[in-house]
Amino acid sequence: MTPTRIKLWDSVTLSAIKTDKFKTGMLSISLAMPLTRKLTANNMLLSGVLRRGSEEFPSAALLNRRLDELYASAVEIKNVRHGKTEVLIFSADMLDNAFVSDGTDILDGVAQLLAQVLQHPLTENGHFPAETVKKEKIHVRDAIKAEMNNPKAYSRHRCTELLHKNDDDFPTLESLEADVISADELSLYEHYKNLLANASVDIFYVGSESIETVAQKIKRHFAEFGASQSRQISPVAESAGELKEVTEPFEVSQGKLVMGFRTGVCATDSEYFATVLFNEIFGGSPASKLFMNVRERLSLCYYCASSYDTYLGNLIVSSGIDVANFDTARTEILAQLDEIKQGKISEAELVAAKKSIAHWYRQMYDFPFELFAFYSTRAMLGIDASPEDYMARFEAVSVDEIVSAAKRVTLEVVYFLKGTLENDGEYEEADE
Amino acid sequence: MTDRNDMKNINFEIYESALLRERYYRYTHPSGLEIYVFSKKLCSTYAVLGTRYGSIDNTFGVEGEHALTSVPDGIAHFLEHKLFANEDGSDSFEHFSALGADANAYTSFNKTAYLFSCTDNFEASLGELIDFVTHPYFTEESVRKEQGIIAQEIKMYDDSPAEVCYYGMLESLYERHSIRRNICGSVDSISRITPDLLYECYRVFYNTENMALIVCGDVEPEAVVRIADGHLPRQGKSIGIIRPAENELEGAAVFKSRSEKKMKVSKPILNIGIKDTDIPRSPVERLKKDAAMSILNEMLFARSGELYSSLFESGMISPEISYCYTINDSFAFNSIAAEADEPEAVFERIKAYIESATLREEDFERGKRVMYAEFVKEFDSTESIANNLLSFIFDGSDMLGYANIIAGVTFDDVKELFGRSFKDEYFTMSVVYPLD
Repeated sequence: MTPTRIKLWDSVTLSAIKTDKFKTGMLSISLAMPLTRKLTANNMLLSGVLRRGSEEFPSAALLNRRLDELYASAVEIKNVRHGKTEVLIFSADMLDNAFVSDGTDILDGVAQLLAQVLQHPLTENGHFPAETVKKEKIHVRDAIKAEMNNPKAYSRHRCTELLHKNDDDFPTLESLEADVISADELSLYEHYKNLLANASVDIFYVGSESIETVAQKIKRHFAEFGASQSRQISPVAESAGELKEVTEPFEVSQGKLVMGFRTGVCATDSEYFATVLFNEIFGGSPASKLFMNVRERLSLCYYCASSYDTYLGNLIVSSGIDVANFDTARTEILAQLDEIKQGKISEAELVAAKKSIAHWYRQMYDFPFELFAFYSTRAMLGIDASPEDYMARFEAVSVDEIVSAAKRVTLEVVYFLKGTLENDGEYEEADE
Repeated sequence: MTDRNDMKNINFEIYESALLRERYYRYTHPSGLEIYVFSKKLCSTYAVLGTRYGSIDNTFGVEGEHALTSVPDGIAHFLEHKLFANEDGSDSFEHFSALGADANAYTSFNKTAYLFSCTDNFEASLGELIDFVTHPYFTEESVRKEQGIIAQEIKMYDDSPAEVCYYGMLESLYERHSIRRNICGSVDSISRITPDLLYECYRVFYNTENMALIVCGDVEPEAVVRIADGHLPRQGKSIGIIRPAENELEGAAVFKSRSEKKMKVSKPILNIGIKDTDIPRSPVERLKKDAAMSILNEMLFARSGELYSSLFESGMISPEISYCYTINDSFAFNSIAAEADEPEAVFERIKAYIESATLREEDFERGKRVMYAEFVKEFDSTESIANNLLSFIFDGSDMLGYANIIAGVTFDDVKELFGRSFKDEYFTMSVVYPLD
């Protein structure tokens, strides 16, 4: 199940994994550009505008109707950020032709529809229709504002912003909103043209068809596009700056403590493997130190977990706690980090962490989108490795290397979303 | 295993579908536990051990013991959390981690399920799953600790506008049915949970006859049964659980026409509920109704349809909208979730559309095609297969038969259903408005 590759045009490669394992197939087109503040807002607007119709399917309803006809094929356009690169991914998942009896060629239909969406959007006077852009601006602004509806995600977002305080290219919720407001049908069309001409393009397929068939269908529907050279990501881990502590009052009942750390290590560094295992042991699973101590031993929270951004080297710990327990939780999270720094990793913890990672890589073969994510990001990073290669690298990591990775971890941000709604009396009692 | 010679010839009942190219096996263990094995050549194997016990079972009786009595809300969910703790002080999450398996559990309105996914050590993992679920251990101390953890879980959900809005809908749809109570209970109700109550609920609802084990993966059915047999009791204890017929106590009309709350949201979010107390007793008939209503929903509410287009193009709603029909032997309702500046106007528009809509055969065919495709797509993951199979089994039906049931739905069935399912008194709306 490793991808084979064909060049579709000078700079665009199709990667395909041919397999009969699934009843569904996936096809994706990724357009990568270096991250700038405006890029994210423009991509968000563009994904909405492109879904509002094409020359062949001139309304959102007609596009959706076509997807229904193609046996509920689903097209998603999403923005994925890998450190300082942002990728706009047009992906489709579809039923395999073998499971339809009326002769519909679903893959061909999906390729045609993606080409319509990407290369033949509705235009007026040489740009996007003004009315469409106006409506989409409202939706995207609403979506940005709606971040606050989910305090868990919102608080993580705010911590991430603080980690990027000195990064002018990083879009904050505030800058995103401003960039959406300032965009118009001309600037967005300009962005669209620029994206088609200059993005690094990657096409990926998983399903029962041969790579030749897929290539032929894509070339039938798409005109050549993309940058003349494919760009690679060169992640560089951010180094730690001075400690920032921010408390934001919020009209909810629970507090959210989010701590931002720098690991100094990212996906292309040799210490990457040890750092991933460190994260696993620290707060990456229900057997981790944070779960077993902050939750199980002290019963301070329902969730307390860490996640590691492998492109920037940031590590974020997030927990939902009673406001009064802020100090206790913060102290305990740091105490668990210190435990690892002091080498207190049991053999059982090491084995469990390695097994958990190995399980992750083995089960990847059951999920076309995970295979796509793995191989396409490896390609962008310029790493030629299979999931098995990764498993072997993780297996070889020693406790000492994990401890060294932990010692590099530095706290930079303590963000507290302070719930201001009153607790009811019963709650206090139950938490004793 | 010398004393288990009866395992040599295991008689399976086989369910299969030529259309889907899938099959599964069913076997009833001497303990009363039903074991299902769904063969699937994927890398991960998924197992789920479930019991017909959810948050709505907070009032129950036992034949020959006692009539209906009530226990604190949230106890099924509390039990789910506590079963992971073992008598030797260990936690089953750690055991699964040591095996490299990914374990979890969930509690819904009508079931509790314990599960793991693995790509290695299947035998030991399955043994662990059965062992921890069949060996409860609760102490005053551990119950107190869990009250703190679950209190934070409850507060997390209390701060979630989507969650609050959804329960607001259920509280308005139903006057008495226990589905209107939160699955986790409240901070107050869980403070009244004791080890004795947990043991009693466990005894009643975790008897093997009330449970089912599903395994989906590249495994031999015989092997699964042999492993399970090594961890299961030789005999089951029959317990006659008495559950109140809650649907029959509910009026057809909604309890309240509105629920309104204010929270930290950027713009109003809404859940429209459409009550359905017409629940067929026969599982097959329920499944037919489920299929017909799901096709009807596609015809009425899909993004490719007139209603969504008019709401979306006029800017009345945000692009994201979801709709879902739920039916089982205890409750049924339709729900629509959206975000809108003027929820009342959206509500009126939807009701007016349904009032005047003429169903078209072309949309019926489209809806049917979508339902068929969505169903087939579910068969690419051992996780979704196992969990869906558990739901079908607990509702008394055969999952593989559902594709044929969808195919068998006629335009007349859907028209007939449409004519009687959307009376004005069946509608309610829950809204979470922004704070002032």
